[in-house]
Amino acid sequence: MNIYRTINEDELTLSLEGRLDTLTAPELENEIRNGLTGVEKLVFDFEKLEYISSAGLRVLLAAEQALEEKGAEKVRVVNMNSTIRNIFEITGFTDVLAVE
Amino acid sequence: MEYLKQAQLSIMLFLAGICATTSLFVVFTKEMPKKQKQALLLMDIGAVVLLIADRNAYIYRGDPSAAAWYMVRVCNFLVFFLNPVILYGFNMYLDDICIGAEDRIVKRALTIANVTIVLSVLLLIVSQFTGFCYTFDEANRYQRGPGYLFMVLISLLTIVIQIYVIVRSRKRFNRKTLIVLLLFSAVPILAAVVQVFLYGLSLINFGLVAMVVVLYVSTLTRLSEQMEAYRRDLLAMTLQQERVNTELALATRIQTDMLPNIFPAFPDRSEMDIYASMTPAKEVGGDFYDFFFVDHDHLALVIADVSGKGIPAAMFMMMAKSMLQTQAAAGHSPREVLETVNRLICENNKEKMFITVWFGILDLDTGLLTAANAGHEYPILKMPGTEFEIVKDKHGFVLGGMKGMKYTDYTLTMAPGAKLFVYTDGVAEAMNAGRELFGIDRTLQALNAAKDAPPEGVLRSVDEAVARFAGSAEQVDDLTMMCIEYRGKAETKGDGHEGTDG
Repeated sequence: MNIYRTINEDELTLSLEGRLDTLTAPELENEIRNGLTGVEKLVFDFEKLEYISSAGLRVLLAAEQALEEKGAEKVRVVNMNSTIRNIFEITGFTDVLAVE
Repeated sequence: MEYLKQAQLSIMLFLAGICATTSLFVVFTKEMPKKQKQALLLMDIGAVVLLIADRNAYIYRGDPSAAAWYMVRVCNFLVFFLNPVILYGFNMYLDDICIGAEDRIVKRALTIANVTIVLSVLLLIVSQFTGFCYTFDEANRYQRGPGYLFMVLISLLTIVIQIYVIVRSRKRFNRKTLIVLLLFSAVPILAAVVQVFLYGLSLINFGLVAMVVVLYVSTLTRLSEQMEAYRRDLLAMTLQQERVNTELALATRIQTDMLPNIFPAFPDRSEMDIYASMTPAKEVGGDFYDFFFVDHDHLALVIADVSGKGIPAAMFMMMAKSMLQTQAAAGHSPREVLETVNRLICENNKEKMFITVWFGILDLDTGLLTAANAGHEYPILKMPGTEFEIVKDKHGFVLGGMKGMKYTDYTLTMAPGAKLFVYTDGVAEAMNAGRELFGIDRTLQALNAAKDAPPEGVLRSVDEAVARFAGSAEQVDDLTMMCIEYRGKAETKGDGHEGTDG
């Protein structure tokens, strides 16, 4: 999986390409753990993301909690495909993150 | 002294034989690293040629014949040429055992040593035209030239640099190796000093050759010791792995036994028929189902999926299963159960694992099913006379995700003959070799193909369909499903009297 970072002042956009599953989740976890200094808004662009597993959801949850501790806005997720949207709806993530 | 000079020729032949044999051994030694092998081979073969050349230089010294004229020149050239060559071989050896010479100073020192070697060879070539190192008089006898001492000093410089490298890298070697390496350098120096004053005795060459043999023996010994250490480590690791595998197998059995797996589950109850199965992907899984009586007329049903796989998921699963059971047994509604368990899990959840849960309570008198859903797959319901259809129930967030989440109870009425099918995402996400997903549609197809079968038959239908679809592809996720058929309120006791007297 490839992770692309775009910074716009205090807003960080992470575009994911490929699959976010047990194998690739640690990469994203690392990125989030080390790369949130000075970030007040976090956006995930899922346009090129094909699939997300529960391991991936865990990392998203951790990101949301990290931001929550800072007092920042909810994590935004944009451009999901229908499979991933379905997963978000079933697991209730659509209520916890700001999904567009 | 005189005896030594005379026996010298035989000694040289003898030593040449030893070095030739040693080179053969080096060629056939498998366990030696390539660079060390090449270095030893260079030194050994160099030593063989050196000895033969030196021997012939002595034999043909003073011989006036034409053949001797050539032999004397060729052999002496070889002798002076092979000294630096053998020293170069030692450089190669040092470069390798100082583990690639990561120390920049060591690398630079070895480079300088190589430069001195090249210098020696260049001087030798120049000497052929200028007689710098040695000349031959009219009687065809070798005479040391004015620069002979200078040549010796350059070689000594090479050796001094090598000693410096060895001493600087001394931490890498054990004592035996260190002594051998220092000897290799020291003995030729000693021999050279002595030989400066004594011509006629090829001390340097003897010294070099002896050290080459000693080096070979020491290398072999060191490698042998290394191999022994590797073997011991490998054995320890294999035993460790065996232990882990045994414990994993045990853990799998314990986990499997924890899920109710005796069917028919309640043969004395006619109100329902239930069947469930869990096929883990790894040895231990994070999926589970559960069913148990909360009181005489209420049956609790659980299906859940822990995020993650393997032992961490299994441990989390056992904790969650136990919590759900305890809360349900206290008589709370599904919503209350989920809210309490969520709170409990969030209190102790550093690893941030979460779990999707569908939890329901079936009233066996009325067929009323009260349920709540925490981020789990939609249940699938078949009412009598129709087909299996998805129930898009209201979803709360997964358990363990966030504190204070709220859940909602909803109800379904199961008429006698209705069947409820719950499952985890392993079913729809089963993949075949072409990386296609089994999907919800195929699940519905398989269910409806067996819609009139009892729960066990329904599950088998789905199982077989998934197996046929997946083919040879490896199972990626736990496959868990449960089906319950409501048969209607039990006949009250006492109706059976009708056929009997009294």
